Amino acid sequence: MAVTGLELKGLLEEAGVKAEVARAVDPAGPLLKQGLDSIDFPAFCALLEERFQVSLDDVTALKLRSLDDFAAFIGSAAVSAGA
Amino acid sequence: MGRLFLQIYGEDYPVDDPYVPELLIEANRSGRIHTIVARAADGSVVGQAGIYQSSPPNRRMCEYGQILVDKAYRNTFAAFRIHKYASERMFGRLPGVDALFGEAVCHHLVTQKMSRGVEFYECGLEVGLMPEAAYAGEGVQGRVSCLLHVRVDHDQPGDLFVPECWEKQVRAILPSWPLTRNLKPGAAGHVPPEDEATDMAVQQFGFAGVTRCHVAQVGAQFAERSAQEIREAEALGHDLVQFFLPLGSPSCGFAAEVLRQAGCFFGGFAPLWFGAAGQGPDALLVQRLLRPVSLAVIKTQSQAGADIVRMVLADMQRAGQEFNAPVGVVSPDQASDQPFDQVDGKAAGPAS
Repeated sequence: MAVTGLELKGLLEEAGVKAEVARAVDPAGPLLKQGLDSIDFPAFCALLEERFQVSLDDVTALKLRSLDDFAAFIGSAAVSAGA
Repeated sequence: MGRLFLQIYGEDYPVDDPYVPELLIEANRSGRIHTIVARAADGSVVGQAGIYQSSPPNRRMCEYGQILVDKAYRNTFAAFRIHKYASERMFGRLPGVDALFGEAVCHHLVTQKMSRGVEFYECGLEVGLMPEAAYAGEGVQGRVSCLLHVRVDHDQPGDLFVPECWEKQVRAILPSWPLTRNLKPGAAGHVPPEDEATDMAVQQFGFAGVTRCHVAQVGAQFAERSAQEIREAEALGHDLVQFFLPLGSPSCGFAAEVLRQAGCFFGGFAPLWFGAAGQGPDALLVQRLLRPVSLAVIKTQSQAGADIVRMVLADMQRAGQEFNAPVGVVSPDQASDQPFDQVDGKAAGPAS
């Protein structure tokens, strides 16, 4: 399942991130430095778990900083599942 | 669980139940509280949340809160996951619970955000409800205001006498939920019969400096009784007095006008606050500051919340100007944080 950071950006608002914050996010930059807070970030992780059927524990999630990191994680999880 | 409360609150949590296992078990068994516990693989307690009976006279309306996480798990999503579990598995599903309410602090947005997407709707602002000392270490300056928000799962239809003096505010909030109400005018001139006694239950929250009065019935001597409660709250050194008026009473408009002339201002509309315990299901929250106080910055995460803050603070200013009542001095950060036009430099001191 190939997904890009830019495509994940479209899910930020769905996770409850304010529209103006979501629109300004750079997929390569750390999310927590771009206006996501301690509720937005886990809500976004939970949405990704549900949407892409991946399991994302807290320790792993906190190591993923940018949308591009999340996209790479989802991609590798899909490869593992398919293997 | 007791250890978790001790870690977070020391011995200062105002209720004994969480500290005494037998009491907590019994409270859960009886339905007074529904505790949600998150445990690690080794069985140790990670955190908790509670759905519990608190201030409302309606025992079928519970508060949602007490979200605590062990310090060892602060850098995890524990609080979020506990909340997610509560919202997906417990909200709307608990026997004997018709409605939930929360009081979200306004000096940050985390608690307010938890109400997002789970059908809690903002319906009031409790101005300066909590003392600065309760948030030591968080950089808070001034008393902290709380947004009141309510989720209704099982409505109880009934009369709603819309108080003349705060009709606009009540009607603005009312459509937030699909409530079945028989709306009638709550005229200020509807004086209760001479032989009708005021039924008022008073709670004192010494640590918070708050007096909270639940008025189950408005009697002919309401003005004297409410004035007495305000005087007693002042004598106790409290900063805030709140009145929850019965909107199901034809005399609610009378009581509202009495309080308005005593320097009170609009606080909120609380659906199901009285439930079957009152003359009608809902309450009108009216409040009065007892001396000028500094208020911490009031942040909101939704337009509805911002509208309510604007509405309440504007009425607080009105009470100051019209009746020389004390008002809150809103943090200077407020102006830069959100464009509340009514606090634009005008809240810097009590009206004189």
